[in-house]
Amino acid sequence: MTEAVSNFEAPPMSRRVLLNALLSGSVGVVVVGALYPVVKYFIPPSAGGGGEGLIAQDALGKPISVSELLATHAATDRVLAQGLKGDPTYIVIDNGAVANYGLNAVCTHLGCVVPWNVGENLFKCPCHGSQYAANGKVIRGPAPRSLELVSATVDGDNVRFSPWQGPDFRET
Amino acid sequence: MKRIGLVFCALLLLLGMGARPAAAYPYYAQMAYDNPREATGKIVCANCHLNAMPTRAEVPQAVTPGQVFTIKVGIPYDLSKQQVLADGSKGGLNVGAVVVLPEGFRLATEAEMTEEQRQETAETYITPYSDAKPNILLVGPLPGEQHQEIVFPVVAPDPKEDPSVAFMKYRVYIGANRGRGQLNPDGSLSNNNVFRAPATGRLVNIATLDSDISDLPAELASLVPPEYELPGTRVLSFESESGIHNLVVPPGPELVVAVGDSVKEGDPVTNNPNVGGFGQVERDLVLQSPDRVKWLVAFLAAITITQVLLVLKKKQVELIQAAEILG
Repeated sequence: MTEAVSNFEAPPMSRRVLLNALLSGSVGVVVVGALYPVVKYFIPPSAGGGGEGLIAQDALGKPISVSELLATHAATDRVLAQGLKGDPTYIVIDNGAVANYGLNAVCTHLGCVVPWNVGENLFKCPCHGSQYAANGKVIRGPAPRSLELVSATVDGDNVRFSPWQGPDFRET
Repeated sequence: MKRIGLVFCALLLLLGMGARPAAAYPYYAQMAYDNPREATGKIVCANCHLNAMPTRAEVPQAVTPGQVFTIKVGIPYDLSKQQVLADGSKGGLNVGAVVVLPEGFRLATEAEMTEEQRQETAETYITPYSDAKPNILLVGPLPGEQHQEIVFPVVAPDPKEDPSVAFMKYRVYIGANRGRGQLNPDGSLSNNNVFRAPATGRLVNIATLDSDISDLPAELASLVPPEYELPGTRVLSFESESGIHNLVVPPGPELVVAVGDSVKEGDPVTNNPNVGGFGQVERDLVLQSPDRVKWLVAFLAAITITQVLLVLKKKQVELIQAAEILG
């Protein structure tokens, strides 16, 4: 009987654990390898960065003409336009000229578009009452930060928005 | 530039010799159509080359970006056969071809070609269809005896350099012709056609031009269009209930009716001298990313290793089970 037992000795536990580890490792590689492209497929493709900025457009998607804009608006006004990433962006008119900055109209609280209040010279958010000064600096909550700046340059008869470089001039 | 110049010289030479076009002319397609491939997929050569004959094509299954590869177009026909030429005499067939590559693919320059490709294309003048369509290649006419197979050296685009090109499976459309066409660019029939009776009636007279138009009676001479004013042109007069109808048959096709025969309208009065024909084929061509193949091989290797390990684990479990039963 003892001879039969020695013939069918089971593999020791260490050998079983080693093979389990090798097997689970390789199964893991295959599963991860198959899932990686699937997960990547569901992540939206990036729109691609426009390094040189974007021409400001009106609500219909037509480029805004600066000469027409200045002729039809008061010397101090904020005009909504389509800006970077499709965000509504204010063209800032100061002293009858387009300022070198624009303001992203998305409220920094929960993302409502902030309207310009001509009488009070303020941006007042209709959703939760946040208020911003004429240059976009937050003066009343619950909004945590000032309106985002974008750089605005006059390019021929159009306004060109590009990402704001450098420090925020509204910090005191 | 040199190649275009050569083609232009060849064209001038052919036209200058006064001979009427003798064979397949891809230039006619270039002159008349912006795109040689119609919306239905028909290649416009078939508008004038009315007979169908097989075309063979050899396109690689997949190419990598920037690769210089070869597309072979086979234009087989019975080399012992001869076609009628414009003056009615017999002669060899010419061949021509058009290759519609996917957007972004283009003809290889002399410097890019391999030594083998340079030898194979030494006698062929391959030109892009137009400046707007460098991906469509034309060749011909070439003597068919030496060019049963035409080689196109092609360069694949690189999606990294040209964002409008993607890695994917494309279609290549190939058309090839041998022998003269049936319609001239101005719409008139060439002599490489079957001629048919213009009316139901009886053939009463055959007048043949010998060398000069003046042998014919004036009323028949005025019927012969200038391109048929050749020795051997026949004017057939049919008498029908509505009067005399005349048919001008240029030299080349042989008459199958004799004076006194009765014919019905539309019956052929000549044999069909056409021994050539046009054929088109479509082939798949994959623009393959080498990275994709590398990762596929790696993934397949991982699967193979996993399967081997699964079987080994099963063997180990079998040993444990045997020990439990017998031990």
